[in-house]
Amino acid sequence: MAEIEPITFPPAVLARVSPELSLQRHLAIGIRPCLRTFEEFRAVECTAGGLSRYSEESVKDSSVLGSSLVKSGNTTVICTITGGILEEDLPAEVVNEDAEAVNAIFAPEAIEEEAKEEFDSLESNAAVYPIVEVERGRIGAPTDEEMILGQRLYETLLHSGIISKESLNVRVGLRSVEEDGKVVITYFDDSEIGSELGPKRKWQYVLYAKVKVFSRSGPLFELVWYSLLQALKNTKLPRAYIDESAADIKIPVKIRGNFAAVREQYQIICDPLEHDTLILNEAALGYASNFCIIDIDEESRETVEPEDQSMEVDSRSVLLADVEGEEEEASSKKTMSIVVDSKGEELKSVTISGGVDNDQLKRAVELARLRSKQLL
Amino acid sequence: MSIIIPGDSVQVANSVALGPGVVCTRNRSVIPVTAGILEENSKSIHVESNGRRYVPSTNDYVIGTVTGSFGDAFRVSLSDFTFPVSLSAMAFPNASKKNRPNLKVGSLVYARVSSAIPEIDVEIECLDPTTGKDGGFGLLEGGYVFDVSLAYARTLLFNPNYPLLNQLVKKCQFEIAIGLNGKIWIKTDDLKHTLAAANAIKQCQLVPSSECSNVINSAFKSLSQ
Amino acid sequence: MESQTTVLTRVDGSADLVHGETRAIVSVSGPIEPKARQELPAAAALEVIVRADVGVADTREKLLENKLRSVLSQTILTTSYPRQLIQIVAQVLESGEDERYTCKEAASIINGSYLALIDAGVALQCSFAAESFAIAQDGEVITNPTPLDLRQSKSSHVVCYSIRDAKVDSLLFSDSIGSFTETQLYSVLARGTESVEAHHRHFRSTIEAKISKDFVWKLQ
Repeated sequence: MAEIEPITFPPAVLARVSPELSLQRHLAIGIRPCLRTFEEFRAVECTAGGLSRYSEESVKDSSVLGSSLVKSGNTTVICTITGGILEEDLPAEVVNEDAEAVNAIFAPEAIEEEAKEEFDSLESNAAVYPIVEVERGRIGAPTDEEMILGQRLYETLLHSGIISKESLNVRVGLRSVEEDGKVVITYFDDSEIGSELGPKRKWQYVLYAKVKVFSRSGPLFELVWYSLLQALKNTKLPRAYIDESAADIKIPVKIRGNFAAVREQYQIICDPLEHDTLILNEAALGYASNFCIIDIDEESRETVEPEDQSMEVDSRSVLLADVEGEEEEASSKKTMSIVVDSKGEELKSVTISGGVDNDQLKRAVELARLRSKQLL
Repeated sequence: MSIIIPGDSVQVANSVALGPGVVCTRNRSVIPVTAGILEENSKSIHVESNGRRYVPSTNDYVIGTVTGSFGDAFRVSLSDFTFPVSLSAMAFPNASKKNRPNLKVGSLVYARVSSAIPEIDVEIECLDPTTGKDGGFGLLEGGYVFDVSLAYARTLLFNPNYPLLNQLVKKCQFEIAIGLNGKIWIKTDDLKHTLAAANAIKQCQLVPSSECSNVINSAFKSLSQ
Repeated sequence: MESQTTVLTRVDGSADLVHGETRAIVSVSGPIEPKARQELPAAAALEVIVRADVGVADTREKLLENKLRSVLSQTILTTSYPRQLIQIVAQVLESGEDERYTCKEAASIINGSYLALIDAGVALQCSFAAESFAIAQDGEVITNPTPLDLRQSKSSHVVCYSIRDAKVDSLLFSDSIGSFTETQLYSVLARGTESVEAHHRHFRSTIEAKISKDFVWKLQ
């Protein structure tokens, strides 16, 4: 009669066949499948600005304004920032002197309404528009994970107040032709005259972030967030100017058979060399950490050999920092993702899923603080 | 009548049979998982709730529509958008390789759920397993089929004190098949009677049982005009 | 808060929920046959769809779906329905907040889903309820903030607890965004337990009304 033998798997196979069991057995002896200790984070390596047009070694015609390359464990994240310029919608009276008088006659309520405008705490915050791509060796429509990551980056950036709207204002210069035919571009940064001479219209930079992730090995938000902040830190905004000759003139045009006169649309041109650094609100800068809590089952605790008792885990549930690998990710029913500013005073975003108790949350926030300080 | 909802705790004796709506968790406590009326006695406990989505369970009597055939079995639909169940061509009285039941796509069958394991396909059969005879199962010819709620179908089939059918029989002669999947098939000699009876049964879901006779009367009156 | 179940006739369960300025309708179909790629061998697959009140759903709704899913995957007893699909569609009728915030909508669709799942008779491990919060500039915690409160707030929060025997059992989900201190987070979590229990009492009366309507023919 054939003897029944237990089936055995090498650890790598068991991790795929039964991730939960594999994780439980690891944790029972006090170590994680990735061989880190429970509260140990992965090291993060970051090279910033390497792909930017303003970096020393980079090609000068690149449209990338800031970039970062982040490596942590097996995962590599590349973030590039590009941008555009958008004309702001200004109230008519700012652009046109007559508008106020016209409004007073035709729409007196509109002026009153504007007067009692309320305070809006997000009014002065700006964000970038991120696109996240997680490489999986095939192409197709963005997955749910990519869309969720993109949206979380956007919301966290907007609500944390790291970028202020003001820092994205374009301080335009003026290009004029001097008497001797020489073309000069004047930026009125320091003088009061600038606002007088410059056009009344306003422009803003719009920033786009493209984040590419290679060899995903766990939850991504924290790494992607880190790479975005690193890229924003070295983002430079090109100076822009308008042509003097194009300022405030009326041009007759023909639209659907009717003749009309419209004011000139300013042609705004980016300066190829001159640039400003994007100013971030340093106090609000915060880094993200994720945690999961795993309950160790009785069965796994009983399998621990006496000689391993030195590594015994006393509590029934353990807090793991910086979730990595299939086993941890698949078994983590209780997760936390915490963004805390680098001074450790204010939290910027906390997402908890599952029955986390207050002590575990406290410990996680404490670790997230340390981590945020360390990453600064 | 005690109403219970998920998250409430229930006290159970050591050995009771768990019916629908209650499950035993990994740490061996019994919890209700649906909202409804808690029905318990010394031997069993269950939550009586009224749903609209039928989940097959062994020995249920059901009405299904044949949607296709594959190999030696028919594919039968018990409710919209659910997995089809299979009805073996051998699961009919006196069936053999040669004597195959003649079921076309779209025909109705009255059948018993013979196996309902969630992980695999559900099977139904059209014979009484104790006698091998048809036992009232099989092809339903003619008639009219309509939907009622699941708990109401159970009451119609199992509660002899519910007055509806006894009062309906005073109005007209009919043949009825009640499927626990919330489908009722009814056949009378006259189309008007069929519609009136079907309307009456549907209407009675919404009124207390004492009003049944009024509902039946008005349903028949409105159609006889 | 106002709520009503069985508002749609062609799905297995539905609920209409009005909470302050926000209104959502949630439908549940299931267990039904999944698409081949959704099918799981040992548990039910959940398909969560959130539709915006205005315009088509975009990444904002995807993130809301993700939040709702994280609550539902902890509460629905998916192992009862192997290989099946449970489809939850939440339609926001009135968002009651600026599109830069999602906390009020998140709380409403979580609460609406609870009632719709109960209506559909889908097996649940426990009851649950959610509430939205905002912290004002002066640090005051505002329960179910108005759109104006939100605009002027420092941070916005949504908290969802599971409920056993009419008492808060454990935290299921919490999402906070903005600028807030650790102490403020704890006080939001603590405030959450009170309002969630109050919501639950309301839901219980809605469910009791539903059940007595369901079984009206049982009466004499």
